[in-house]
Amino acid sequence: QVATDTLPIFSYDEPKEYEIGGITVTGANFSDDNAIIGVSGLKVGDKIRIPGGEIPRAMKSLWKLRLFTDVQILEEKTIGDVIFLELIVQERPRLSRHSYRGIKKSYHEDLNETLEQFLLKGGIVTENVKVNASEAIQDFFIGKGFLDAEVSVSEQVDSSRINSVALVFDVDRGERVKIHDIIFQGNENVKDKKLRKQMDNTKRKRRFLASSKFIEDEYEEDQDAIIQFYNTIGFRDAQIVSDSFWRNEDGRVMLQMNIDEGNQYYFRNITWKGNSIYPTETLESVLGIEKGEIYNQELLETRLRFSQDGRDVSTLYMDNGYLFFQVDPTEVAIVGDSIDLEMRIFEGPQATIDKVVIMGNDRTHEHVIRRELRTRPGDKFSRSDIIRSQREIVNLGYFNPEALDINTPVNPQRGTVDIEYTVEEKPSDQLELSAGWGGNRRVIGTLGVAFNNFSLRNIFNKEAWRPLPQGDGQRVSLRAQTNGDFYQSYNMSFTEPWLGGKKPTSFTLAGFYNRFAFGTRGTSSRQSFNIIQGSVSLGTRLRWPDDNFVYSTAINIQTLSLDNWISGLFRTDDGGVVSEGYYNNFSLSQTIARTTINDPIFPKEGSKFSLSLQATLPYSLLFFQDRDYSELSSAERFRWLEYHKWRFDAEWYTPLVGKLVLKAQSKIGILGTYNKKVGTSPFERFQLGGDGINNQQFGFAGVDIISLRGYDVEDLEANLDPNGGSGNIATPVFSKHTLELRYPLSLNPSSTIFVTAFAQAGNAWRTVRDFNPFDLKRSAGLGLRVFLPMFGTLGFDYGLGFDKEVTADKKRGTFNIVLGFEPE
Amino acid sequence: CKSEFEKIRTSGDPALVLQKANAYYEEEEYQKAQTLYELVIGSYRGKAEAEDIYFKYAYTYYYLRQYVLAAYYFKNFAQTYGGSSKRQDAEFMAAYSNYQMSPTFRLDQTYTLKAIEEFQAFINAYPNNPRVTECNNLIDEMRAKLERKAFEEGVLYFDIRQYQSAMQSFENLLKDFPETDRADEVRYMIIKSSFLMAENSFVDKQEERYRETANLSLEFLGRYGESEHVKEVSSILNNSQKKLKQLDNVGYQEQSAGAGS
Repeated sequence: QVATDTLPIFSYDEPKEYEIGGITVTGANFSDDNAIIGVSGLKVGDKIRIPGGEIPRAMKSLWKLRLFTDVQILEEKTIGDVIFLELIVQERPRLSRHSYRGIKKSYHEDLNETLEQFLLKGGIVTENVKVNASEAIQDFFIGKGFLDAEVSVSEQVDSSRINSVALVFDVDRGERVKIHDIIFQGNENVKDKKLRKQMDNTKRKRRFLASSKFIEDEYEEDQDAIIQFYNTIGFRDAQIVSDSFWRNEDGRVMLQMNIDEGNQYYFRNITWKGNSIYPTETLESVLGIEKGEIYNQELLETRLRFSQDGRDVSTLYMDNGYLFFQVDPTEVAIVGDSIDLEMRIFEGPQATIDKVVIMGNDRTHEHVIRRELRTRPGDKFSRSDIIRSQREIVNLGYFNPEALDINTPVNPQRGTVDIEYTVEEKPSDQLELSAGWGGNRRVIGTLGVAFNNFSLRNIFNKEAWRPLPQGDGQRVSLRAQTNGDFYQSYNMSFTEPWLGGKKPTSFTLAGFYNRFAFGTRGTSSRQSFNIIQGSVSLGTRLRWPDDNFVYSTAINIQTLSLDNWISGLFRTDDGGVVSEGYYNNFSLSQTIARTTINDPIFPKEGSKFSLSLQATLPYSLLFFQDRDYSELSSAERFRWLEYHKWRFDAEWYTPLVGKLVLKAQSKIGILGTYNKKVGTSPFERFQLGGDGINNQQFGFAGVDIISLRGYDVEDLEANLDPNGGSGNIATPVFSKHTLELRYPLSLNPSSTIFVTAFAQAGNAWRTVRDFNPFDLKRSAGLGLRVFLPMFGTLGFDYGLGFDKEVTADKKRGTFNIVLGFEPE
Repeated sequence: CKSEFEKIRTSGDPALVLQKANAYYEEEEYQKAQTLYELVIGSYRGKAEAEDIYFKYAYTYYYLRQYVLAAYYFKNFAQTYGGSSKRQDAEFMAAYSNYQMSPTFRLDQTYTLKAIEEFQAFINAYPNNPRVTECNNLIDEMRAKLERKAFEEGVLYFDIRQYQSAMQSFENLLKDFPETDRADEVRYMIIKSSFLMAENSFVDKQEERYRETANLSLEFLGRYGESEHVKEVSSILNNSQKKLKQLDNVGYQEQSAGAGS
């Protein structure tokens, strides 16, 4: 550079302060002088020090523009302590666009991404830029196995803009080069085949579809893998002494590696030093390495620190709060082929939790998360508490389980640890807007919303309506369904999971109104059925037997009124149709449940049990002892419904292989009566069979509808009209058992998708006395489920019923659709 | 048929696009202005207009409430145009954009911390800027928010009867916010937690914990004689001392019983 000679020499011993008297710019033909001065950060009148920080900073700013091939700042002249500066820049043509020749369009996007770091639109084009970009393209193709790829680049003046050029990359990617053979030498103890197997990426071309690219980085990784393999079988000195690479006459790649295996070593004596909390025997058994075993560095590391199943020496200590635990295996003697190890242990103090930090909650209020955590400030650190907290966070259903991140930064000076939970919110509200076929072949329109993370306290806070007040973990659902005059249903419910904020006692207030009506108003053809219900329930987590138990109790006030309602669903024990009357259904429910399921949508493991009893008062025994029930009409007999209804549900999930999960489930329901003279209540019964989807549409129609895949309702004998009529009746007893294999196709929270293969068996009985748990109707089939956060579960099942009569118009297979949520 | 905006957008004439972009900007049509600025930023690199374009471009994000990007572009402006007269404004706006994203104390405070850090850097770099007072006020406001968060954390642990965790949280608050003007209230909460923890402890831990409560109470009364919590603390002190006396008697009886047998 010519300029070097003229560079003034400043002494660093005595930096001097100058005032800038003027700045001139030379060499800027296409850029604006004032803009250049502006970018430099230097201003007339500023005080600067020379030598000092200002000039280099200005140079750096100008370089960063990537518009110049050279930037110099010179002293034009100085008058006293006023300095005049000259900024000399050298401009180059700017890049207007770039294009490719000789390759398919499908590559362009990937290449553009690769070139982003080299080419800047509007930036200058230098030789350096061109060479780097060409090499990047070449590397891109070499990475894809085109070892002979050639790239040349040409500049074209872009006439549409001043001082602009376009770059054209000419690419000849050539043939994809395969590996013909990999040759090993010096491997006396291990076969070639075994060594080739260690090479995950670099393969010989043998089979038609097998990939056989030669990529240098991957080849080096594979060489490391070979050495690692040798290390696991005691050859801890093994190395690849040399390797060579050439092309054979067909142009294919040949690889040769010369290996020096060294000696095979064995473990001899392992001693422990510094352990006071756990006795040596415990540590030995966790380590599980015997004297005389082949020396395996990887195994040693695994058992000391990195075991996948959490059974290693470090975990033993860490789980108990010894976060500062360190173990250092030291070779104290090598005699012949035997190695003596001394495990030097530093146990350190038990760590105490200092702060528990929650981050990433940009919707859910902190206390909603914090109150669920089992790691609290001042507690001793325990890994199992963290795992439990993790489960509780996922159970809230507001966060992406895959993105949950937990950090435990330690402070060794104070012996404390912080626990940082970083969550990622996911949509948890559901909107239901659907039209579908109802039971009587009519279209039913549904509008429903479920807000699972509502904030009641912010309901009058205008700021919080974005779009809804949320974050306090309360659930609100509103739902309206109708198909006009025939059917109308309105539901609402509100749940506060921590009533009063001091204990996890949930409070739910729910109500609904359902109306079914046929025929013309005011005529005898009019039939109607109305139900109104209100309920209040409290649920609380138990401390004993363990805190996975939840106990809940609810008061339900329901009235049912029937007018000329001859659907035939509601029957007395002797088959009499209940079609008229006004019924009071006032009950108290008690439920005890235990759940250890961590992901409500696709559980991988855990179980769920629940036992519930819903009971009314035994009015006939308490108040109406002298009544002769045989004389009364059903409307009078059941005016005050009396029953005790038992439900038992058990679900169990366990991972089998990989992502495959096994689900086992049992359900039993029994509706009992206090007084034989009154008989079993015509309401609150069960109906087993079919898709169970009526549960969604007529869910509060006085029966519990339970699906049975492979069978329609009328396929079960107990559901048929005992008097030979055409309608189906409901039964007081059912049981159902399911085994299901589930495989997830996508666990993305925005669309969870899985397939299932199921085997099911169930039956219904007309009286408790008939109940025979071994007389079951069996079926098997396949299904698909898609969970979309806004719509809930969608899917279908195809089941074959093995224990039903197959006739011309009655096929063995039954197809069921799931809309909204999984049927019972 | 294209709208006027579309015509300008596809005209390919940077001068026209810029002129219209500025017009839209003046009319507070920030979305349109932003789209047009984006088109011409490349063409004006290194020209005199670039600085102004970039500054307004950053502002369009601010006005459209896209504060993450606004903060990014303001910051980028300050770094690119070191000599600009708008540099200090840009740095302030970068911090202020983060301040706009600082949510209620119940949510994640990442942006609050970022805003505080940037306002502090601004104050340090330009102590004479007229906005320094405003920066200080905003910092105080956000510190108060963080303090409230820390306080509510302690209250939550207190409410769910995790008294030890409550004490630890309140103590951390005093460490993290030494300037707090509710120190007496925080210490009162610590004393209350300490007393309740002693109440709910096994007998063999009680003596130590009541003593701790009594010591904390004495310290409180000595230090915050004017506090509105003096009455409650005195009563806790009384109760603790009573309990200590009872424990002492029991201990004495056990001892004498042991000596007698």
